Amino acid sequence: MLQFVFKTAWRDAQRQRSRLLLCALSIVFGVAALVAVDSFSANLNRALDAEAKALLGADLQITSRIGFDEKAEVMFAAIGGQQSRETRFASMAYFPKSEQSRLVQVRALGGGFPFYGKFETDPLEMNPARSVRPVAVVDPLLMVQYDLTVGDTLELGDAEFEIVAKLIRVPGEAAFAGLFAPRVYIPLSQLEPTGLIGTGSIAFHRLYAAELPKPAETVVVDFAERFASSRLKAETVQDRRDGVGRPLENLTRFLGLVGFVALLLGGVGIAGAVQAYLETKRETVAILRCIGSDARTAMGVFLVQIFGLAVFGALAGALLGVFCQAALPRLLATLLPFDLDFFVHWPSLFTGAGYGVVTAVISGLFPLLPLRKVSPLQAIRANFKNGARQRDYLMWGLSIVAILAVAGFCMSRTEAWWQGLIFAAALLVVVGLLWFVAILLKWVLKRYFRRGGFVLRQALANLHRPNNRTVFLSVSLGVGTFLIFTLVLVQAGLLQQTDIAARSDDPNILFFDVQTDQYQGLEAALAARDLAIIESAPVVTMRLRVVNGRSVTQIKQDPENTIDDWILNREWRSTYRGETGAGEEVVEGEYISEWPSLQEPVPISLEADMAGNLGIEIGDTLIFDIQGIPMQVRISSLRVVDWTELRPNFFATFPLGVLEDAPQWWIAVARSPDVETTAALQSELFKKYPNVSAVDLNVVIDAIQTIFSRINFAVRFMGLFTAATGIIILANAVSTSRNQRIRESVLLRTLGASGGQIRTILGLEYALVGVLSAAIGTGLALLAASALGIFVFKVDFYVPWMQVFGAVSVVTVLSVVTGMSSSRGIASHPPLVILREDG
Amino acid sequence: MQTLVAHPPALEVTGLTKVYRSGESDLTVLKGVELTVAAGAKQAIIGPSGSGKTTLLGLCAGLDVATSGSVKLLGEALETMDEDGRARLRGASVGFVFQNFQLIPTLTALENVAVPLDLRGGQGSREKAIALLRKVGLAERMDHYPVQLSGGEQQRVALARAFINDPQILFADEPTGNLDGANGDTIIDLLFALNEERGTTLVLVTHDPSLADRCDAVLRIQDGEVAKPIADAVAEGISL
Repeated sequence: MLQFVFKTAWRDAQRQRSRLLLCALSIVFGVAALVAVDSFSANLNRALDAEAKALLGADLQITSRIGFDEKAEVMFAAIGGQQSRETRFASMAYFPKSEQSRLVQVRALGGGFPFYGKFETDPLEMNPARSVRPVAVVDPLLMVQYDLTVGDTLELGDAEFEIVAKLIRVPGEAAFAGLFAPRVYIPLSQLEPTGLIGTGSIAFHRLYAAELPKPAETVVVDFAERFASSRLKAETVQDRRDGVGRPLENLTRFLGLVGFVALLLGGVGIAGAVQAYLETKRETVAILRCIGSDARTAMGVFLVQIFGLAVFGALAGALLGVFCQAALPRLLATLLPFDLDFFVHWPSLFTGAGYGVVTAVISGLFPLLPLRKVSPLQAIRANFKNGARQRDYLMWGLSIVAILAVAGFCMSRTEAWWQGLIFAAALLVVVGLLWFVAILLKWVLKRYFRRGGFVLRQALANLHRPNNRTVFLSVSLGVGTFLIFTLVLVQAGLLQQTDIAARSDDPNILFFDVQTDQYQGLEAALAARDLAIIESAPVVTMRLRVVNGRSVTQIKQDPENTIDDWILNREWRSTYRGETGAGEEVVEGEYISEWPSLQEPVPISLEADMAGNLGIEIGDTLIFDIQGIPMQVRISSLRVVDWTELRPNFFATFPLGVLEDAPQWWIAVARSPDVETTAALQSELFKKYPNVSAVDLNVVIDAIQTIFSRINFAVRFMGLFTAATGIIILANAVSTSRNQRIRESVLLRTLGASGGQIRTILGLEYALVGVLSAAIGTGLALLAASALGIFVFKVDFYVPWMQVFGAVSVVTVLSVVTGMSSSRGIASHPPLVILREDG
Repeated sequence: MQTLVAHPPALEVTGLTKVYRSGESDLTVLKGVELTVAAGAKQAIIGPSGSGKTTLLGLCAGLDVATSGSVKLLGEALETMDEDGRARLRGASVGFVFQNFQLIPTLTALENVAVPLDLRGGQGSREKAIALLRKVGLAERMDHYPVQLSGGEQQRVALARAFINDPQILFADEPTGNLDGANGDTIIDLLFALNEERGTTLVLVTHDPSLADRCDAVLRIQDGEVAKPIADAVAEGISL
């Protein structure tokens, strides 16, 4: 029996080879996407394991934001091993060659760092930690931007440094680490002459340790209390590996889910193509049953064919996936802190192919199962229909298996099971909505669009003809459009918010660390160029000590504590002012403008989300340590702050009359008309006030765009697999209905239609499918992107009409090109065929 | 050759040959067929299955191009026209009735009937289609789709469609082939009635000798050639 099934399946497939192959292509891109992402992920993990120690450059890293006190130094002596120090901070650098300046990250390094991995420079071996001269190693970005070469100089504060090399790589840092503010490495011994580090300066101090007498993890446990009391943060190799690996793992997981959407759509495509294929096989099944075959054998013949095409499609997809895998590291190169070698990860390849086979077989079973109910009577009476439809419990069972498989896959790809479930549910909702809208539109077209020219009416009728693939096409092209366009919109929305240059009134230069006695000088420098400070605020640094009677130390030790560490550890930069700022609004309580000095508790206003994180309400109290002096405060109002506005925004604002005498500096914003004015202003300020940082926000935004576009491109790259699947499904659908189309085209030609009319009908039909899919896809993307924008990114909803128009046009053109190229020959088929088929 | 000379010819076929290339070998389906059909005449073409009668009908209607020979339809030499030109001629002056009805499944009966006029962008196609459907007895079923109609009803729709562009010549290929006796008779009666009423030339391919007898002339095709009349064949001792 089995032999009969295989032999018949093979013989029957011979005449349908091209059709079955096209059908198999539906899952190729989905499998390819999964194999590419999973293999990439495996490569990534192997590299992370191999490079783990080099990621930190040491066994242990200890960081302080206030400098190392005496207690810390005693502890470091007790920790032992090889040690190296680093101080890093932001400062303006001046380049005499071009007479320009910009914000850089200064890293003063001393000792034997890195203990693992290499400090790569060009020319080689130019680690400044080992130098006693005023030398600097700088980010390539700076070299290009200011046309610098080795031997040129740069100024930091009061000191001049000779550039001795270009920075290639520092252990544990990706190339993009220097995008926001390029890195400048100098010897630690040369830091003091710059005069940039003094009491109250914002700087990070680091100690790197290696060759420890005890494992680093043990050191962290042994000294945990002393680290806490000296406000030190320790990081081991394992911590760094997790820290570097987790975001990348999340990204690859997400890319995997995007790839899975392509596979799922491929499954939908296969179901559609197999259904159309099996429609032509009902007679064969009826004949087989007439001559004594049972339903199972008849079904077995086609199950073997479906399995065969699934295996073919999955293997082809796996092969394509290996090629794509080679492309991914290049796309993400700047985000990776190490080189990624390419190797084929066989388990990923077989798993991806396995997912493909399972998806294709489950999808194929949907149209296959009803075939077991074909009556042998159909062999002699083509119009015979089975009696009343009965409930098919096997179909119900198959549907449940399919839903469980989708949910299971999604859950296996996310960090928490509920995230996978949400993704699966969202996917079902999107597919369901597309399905529903497509059916609704079909109904509307059928019901209401029966007027107009014949060509248009016929094209519309093709969308709801018997055996049409309108719903399948709309879903597949629509989901592809939805995925890609949602990403485009989210990116556009975010960038629109940060596109300061485009908004004529908004500030685009930020000055910080302006000392009180420098404020007037800053105003004068601006006034000389017809500019003015748009908004400014004094900044007083402080730390949180007590929240509603519980000390920060107690809260941190509480196992049920839900307050994030960064809130408890951070240095708060607060201001005092008599009214709320431009981008903020009081949502609860009353903003107190003035307060008699030192009468505690002082009423302050807190940012609403921060209050939520701290779990406090109006009337609750906090104690801040304001540079050595404790001050009790009471929450008198809560504010909502628009952080996207480039204004001096603060978590905590004090009333006037309290902090005026505290050590403080100023933050200010202004708007420069052009790049030249900004550069001239930066140079002048650097010479007058080296401590003042003047940040050109356009440069920062460029950096954000660079990183965003890298990630986005990777995601879009995966989204393309979905779109490609849609195109395959379209080609499949045209192919499966080709005979019917030829018959109709020939009939119309017999009745007098010209070739042009036939081609217009076909073109219009594909254009309508494209417009329909793109309209639904972009519509849903607008909804999703606005929901994400409003609830997650807190940006305003807007409709980028040009991009919507572009997306609809691209999908429509793709649809028409694919449809017309798959329809070649239909319009020119000789009409005589219609008579010949009749006898 | 059989000729009716009462009117100027609607169809003139001269030395018509059609060869199909099948792999390495050639298959000659028609060999030097000659036929003239006068305007308004009813011409039957009969012959056994595979004799080439459908191919002849297709070539006469300009649905395919002959290998050699000439077809002059309504005064126009088809071999000098391109496919779109022939399609225009068909749309303007030719009607068709097929054995398998050939209705467009996505259109209602009314819309199917209107197709030839709609293709030409003609006005009043709906009204004309309604009038024709009334005439063939389907006034109540105009909004039904083909799948909702019986075989006989579908053929009546096809008949109405064939006459909507007031054709000068109608080609019918086994119009009763898929119908039972009663339905077949109704269709034939309707076909002849409409033909008489409008003075349309009719070229009818059929297996049915009684149907052929209702025509003015009969052309018998055998193995792609015009067979001699029975009386001549008997005289020459040839068995048909």
